[in-house]
Amino acid sequence: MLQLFRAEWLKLTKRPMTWILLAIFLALLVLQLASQFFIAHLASALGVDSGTSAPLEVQQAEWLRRTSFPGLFGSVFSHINGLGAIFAVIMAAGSLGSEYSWGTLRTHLARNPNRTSFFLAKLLALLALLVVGMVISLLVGSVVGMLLGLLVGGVNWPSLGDLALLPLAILRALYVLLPYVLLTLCFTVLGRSLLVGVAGGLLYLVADIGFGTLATLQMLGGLWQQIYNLTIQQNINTLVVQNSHAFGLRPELLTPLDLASMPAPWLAVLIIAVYCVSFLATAIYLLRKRDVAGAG
Amino acid sequence: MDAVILTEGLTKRFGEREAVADLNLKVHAGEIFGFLGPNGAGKSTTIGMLLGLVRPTAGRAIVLGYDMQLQPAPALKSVGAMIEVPAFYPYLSARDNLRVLARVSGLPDARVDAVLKMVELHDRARDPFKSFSQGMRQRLGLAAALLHEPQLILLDEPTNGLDPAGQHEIRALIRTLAQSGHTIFLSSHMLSEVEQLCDRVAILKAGRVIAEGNVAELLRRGRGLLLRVAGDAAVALEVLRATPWIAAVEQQGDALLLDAPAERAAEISMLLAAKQIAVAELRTNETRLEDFFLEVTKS
Repeated sequence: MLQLFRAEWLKLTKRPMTWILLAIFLALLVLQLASQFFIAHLASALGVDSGTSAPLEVQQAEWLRRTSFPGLFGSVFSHINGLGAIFAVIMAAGSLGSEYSWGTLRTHLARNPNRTSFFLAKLLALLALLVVGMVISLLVGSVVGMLLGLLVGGVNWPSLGDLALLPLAILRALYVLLPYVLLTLCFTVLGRSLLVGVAGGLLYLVADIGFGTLATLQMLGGLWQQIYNLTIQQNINTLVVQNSHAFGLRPELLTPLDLASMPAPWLAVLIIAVYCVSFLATAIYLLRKRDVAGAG
Repeated sequence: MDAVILTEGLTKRFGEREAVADLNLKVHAGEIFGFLGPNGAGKSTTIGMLLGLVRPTAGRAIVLGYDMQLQPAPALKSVGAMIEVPAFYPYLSARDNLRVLARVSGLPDARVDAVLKMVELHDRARDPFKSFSQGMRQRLGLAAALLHEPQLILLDEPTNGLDPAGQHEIRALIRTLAQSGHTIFLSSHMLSEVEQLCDRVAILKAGRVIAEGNVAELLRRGRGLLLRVAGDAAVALEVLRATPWIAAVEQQGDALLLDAPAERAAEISMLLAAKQIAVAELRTNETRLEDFFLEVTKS
């Protein structure tokens, strides 16, 4: 398994797409931090109001927290679990889908027929790469935070306690990305194509996050609220909010989040685990069951 | 274990279409076995089943003593394959592509340089696969097949895209591999290549084996003898058609083509002599494999 992981790691790290995606992601992160910084410092002058019930000065303080330590870490994690999910979907679909389009899946399985190991090695390599991406994002975010801090007269350095929270936050952020990665891999195996994988993963993301299709259910309250609490998005929100709170942020001040209606963290972890296991089992089942070469 | 590949009633259906039907093959250790057939005959599907990539609808494929449905892993440790177009990661160099495969097979990276040298790609080892010509891709495919020093090598069109010199080198390499005890299963459209290299062949058409055997024997089959007579050819034709052990006689120009065993040529001479017909020429008909292939695969 270690050798398979090393093979997958070599493929991923030598692939230009990996680093192009990371560069775009980091550029967008810098842009986001910079825009938050300017909003934070110009909010009162411009009268920026996010539309929540929180007073303007409270909102402004929240913007400020997002661009200085330790809240900056929360901001980076928020970026990772928001926009990062799209990049994770593209990475996952690219990693497995290309094996179909290039015919390399056949080359691999004609050597090592264990399809479950192949899938798990690929998944582990993808997750490891996501962790590396997160660490790089945190470093870049920190540098940007320091530079922005210098612009306003001083850097508010993170404490050791803040730094100690990072490993758990990284794990939490990874766990948030996991169902999207697995769902994408599932679609990729189903369609035996990169395109189907990307389309499936992004369609769900767009439906889930972008249009809030499923979020509308909660407005009906009662049973609908409970059903909504079983969706991926609502449970992911719980963990994302936890990561923000861990670094002193209060996203509910700037976005219409109803913390009271969110599932408990342990329940969120459990529900996401059920989704992950379902997607994983389906993907492996399909991969194992289907022929790899066509008729000739 | 004599049979390196053994298929028993191997069948694959894709919906209503039968891609491979009741295939019974036996490939012996150390031989070069040619696998021929027109496009869509089921060759790739068969190779897919031999490698455990395609699940048979019925029957079984046994490779190196292992049932490929039940125990593909131990068999594949000793099988090298180049399937259809060599498939590699376009952005990786030749060396990195082989490093990936070495890791998949649990081999040390050191083996990579040895096979790159074997197929004369060591000078281009750092170049990305996407920059390779078709011939270089074929070489890399062959290098990948040889990476783990397999006992059985399945090759699908190994000289496709190579220039004559390249084809000659690869054929020489295949011969060397066979001489050193490897078993080669060679699927090829280049019939002259199969004729030059293979000990035995099987010809597949619409998923079924329509001819199988030793290459020399197959070429003797069918119109096995060519006869020219000095006298009346019509009388000779009548005499030969009346002979029960001559399966078929066909007139082709001034010659008669006889489907008869070559070792009974003397009897044919005597038969005709008894009817006062002088034999001007009687010899084994030199059929090329290509002619034989076209004849048996024509609809």
